[in-house]
Amino acid sequence: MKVFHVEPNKCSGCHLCELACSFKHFKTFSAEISNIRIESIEDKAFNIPIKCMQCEEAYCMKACVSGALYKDYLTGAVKIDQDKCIGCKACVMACPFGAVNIIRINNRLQVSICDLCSGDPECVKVCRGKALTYIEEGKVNARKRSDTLNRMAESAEGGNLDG
Amino acid sequence: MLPTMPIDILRINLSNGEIVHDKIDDVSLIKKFIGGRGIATYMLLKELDPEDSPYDESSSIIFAPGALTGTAMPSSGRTSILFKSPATGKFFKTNVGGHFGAQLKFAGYDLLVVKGRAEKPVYIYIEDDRVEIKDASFLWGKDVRETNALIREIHDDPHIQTACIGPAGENKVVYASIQVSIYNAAGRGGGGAVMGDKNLKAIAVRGTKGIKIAQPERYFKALEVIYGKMNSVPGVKPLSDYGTSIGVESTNAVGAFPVKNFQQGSIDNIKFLTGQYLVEGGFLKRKISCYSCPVACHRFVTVDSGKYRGTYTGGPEYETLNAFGGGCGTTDTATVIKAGELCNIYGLDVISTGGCIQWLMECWQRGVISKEEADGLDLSWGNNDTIVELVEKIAYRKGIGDLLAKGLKEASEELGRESYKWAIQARGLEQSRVETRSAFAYALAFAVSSRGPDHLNTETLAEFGGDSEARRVIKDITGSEEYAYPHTTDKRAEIVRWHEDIYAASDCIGLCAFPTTAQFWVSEYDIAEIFSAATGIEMDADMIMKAGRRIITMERIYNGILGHTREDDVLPYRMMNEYQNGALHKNAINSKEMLDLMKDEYFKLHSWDMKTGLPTRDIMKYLGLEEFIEKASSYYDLA
Repeated sequence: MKVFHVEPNKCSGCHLCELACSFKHFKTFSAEISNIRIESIEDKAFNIPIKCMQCEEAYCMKACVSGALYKDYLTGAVKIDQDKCIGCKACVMACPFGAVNIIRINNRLQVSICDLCSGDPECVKVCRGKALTYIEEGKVNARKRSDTLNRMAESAEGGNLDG
Repeated sequence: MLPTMPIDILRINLSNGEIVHDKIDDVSLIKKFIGGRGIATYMLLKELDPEDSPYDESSSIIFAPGALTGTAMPSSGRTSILFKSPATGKFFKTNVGGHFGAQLKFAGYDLLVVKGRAEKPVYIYIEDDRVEIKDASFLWGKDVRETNALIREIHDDPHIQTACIGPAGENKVVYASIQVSIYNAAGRGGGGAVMGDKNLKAIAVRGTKGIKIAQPERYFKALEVIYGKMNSVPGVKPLSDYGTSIGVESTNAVGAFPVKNFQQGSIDNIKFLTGQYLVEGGFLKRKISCYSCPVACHRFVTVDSGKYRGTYTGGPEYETLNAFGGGCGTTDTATVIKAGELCNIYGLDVISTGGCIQWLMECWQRGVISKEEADGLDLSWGNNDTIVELVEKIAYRKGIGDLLAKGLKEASEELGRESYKWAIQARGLEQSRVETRSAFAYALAFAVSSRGPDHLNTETLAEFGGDSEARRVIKDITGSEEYAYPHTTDKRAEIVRWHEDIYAASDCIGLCAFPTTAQFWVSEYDIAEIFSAATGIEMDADMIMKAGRRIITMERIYNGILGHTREDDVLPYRMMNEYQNGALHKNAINSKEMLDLMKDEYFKLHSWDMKTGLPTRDIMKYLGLEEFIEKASSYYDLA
């Protein structure tokens, strides 16, 4: 199964992911209604895209009193049945990442969570720096492992790995 | 709301505190001037009073994000800032990246026009429809970093974007920048001094409105074409990997990297000034994007050891690496980063600051300035401590820094001692770090630019034919790839004019000039298509380029009214009178004869008056600028 993977150090803070998300869902460019949001420490030029992590044990679902939240077992996304949602915002409170959003659509507040675009996330498509990827679970950290490999290989050449 | 339609204007008068929301929904105006820079130029020309100095209360400063800023058009997050320049006394357009423009658009404004002068320091706070002029006494004296942090803290909102000045702007250094964070500067022309004169410390903006698209399907089809080109042209990856410093080593290799105040064209140990070394030496930490830019050519660097440990800033860009590196006779990486950091937090233009320091160093080399006059500093080339210390002296106008803060034109006049001969400025603007004696389209572009000698109205990089796309563009303009050769005067006028047009159009939609004039993945056809789809206002490529020409022509009328003629289209003394040593191209010089030859062709191409070099009645009529005929004719000899 594919998982959504974020590498913050690769995020240059272009905000295109926010625009891609809001346009896909609401035909509007606006970070305020996006389900992915860039937060930044400007002085360090450090950015992190924050979105639903698709927790296996989702706190938001546990907190939901109306049964509006459910898992899409094809993608792992937490979805909202807006007809059942009573707008209590307990899920907003429960999410440890701040990834459950309250947005205003047609002058009405609603809760909003990343739905992984049904398995083809728009935000990933526009992320040229590959801070966002949607990859098979086994591929996560493959790059870090290959970096380790290369580092070790270099070290081995210098004889540093010899006992 | 749709991009740019109608044009929402926020007018603020700091003298009487008046705040007015204005709208223009005249489609014909948009078709003529596109948006952003175009509309702002039109407004400035309309209200121009030649008697006003840049520091008069009635002078405006206009902040103009592009028509497509805030949409997913890649690299379209830029903002033009326009004003009458305290450095040149003439028309000035600067342009800055970062995230300020997008916030202004999301707040619902296409243009912000600020007039007047506040009695005490103020900042403007904009949160969608809520607009306030607020006391800034607690911000006055603070640097750019502190100012940003305090504003965000006091409004409890980390997403606020600001355009602010540092101490240099408060002290009216004539090349004080307007900073959009520490990473992006509207550096040139002294916009920071204009804000300082208005007692305007900052403009803080937070916008939460959304932007819609008139024809979404067509818009995304156009985007797909643009993305396809972005991913296939050869220039994007190197820029993304190494930033603008990618050009340092090759420029040095051909002897066109200005060293020691343009006395030489290359320097030893260049490797320490390259983008590759920023990576290898551990300085580069991350890449930074402007709003909606997937290329991310900006860098975030830190210095982690040595005397400047703890330094952190954006860049260094090519211009910084030359202005404080080669230009000052050093290749010390940490010194360049430190000097760049100080410019970013004090709010100083890097190019002019470096240019002034080099001029002083050459005064020392020539023995025309004493140690006493120079506050006891040792001004030898490559004296790293001196370079860094002078940046601070300039920002605070301390000691010799007060002389340098006036800019090279005035400083060299005041000092005398023939120092104008090595003051690398023309019309009050210090030349950017381009060896125009080795690049003739650049030479012409710099001479005729409304700003003065720099590359940010007309980047003619294509003349070097550096890659297949550059050669294609030269062929499209001139009919043959053979003109992708910078040491000839042939076809330079055509090359310059095409670049002016597309550069102006790029600014109008908020697009960075790199996609249109450096890596060539956005053409005038792409601009026309995406603009039409986004706004629902139909424009074709010819109309886009003609709008660009209209803007250049209006700038020329503006300057003409202020007394500019073809005699003022010059380059710094050194470029026009001294041969450059060490260039591949022998006897490299931008002589008056050579410039006149190119200027003649250029004016002919524009159908401007050959004698004055100014727009004529006929061309004004042709471009639909009749309304300025009367104004122009009462101030200059209108042919």
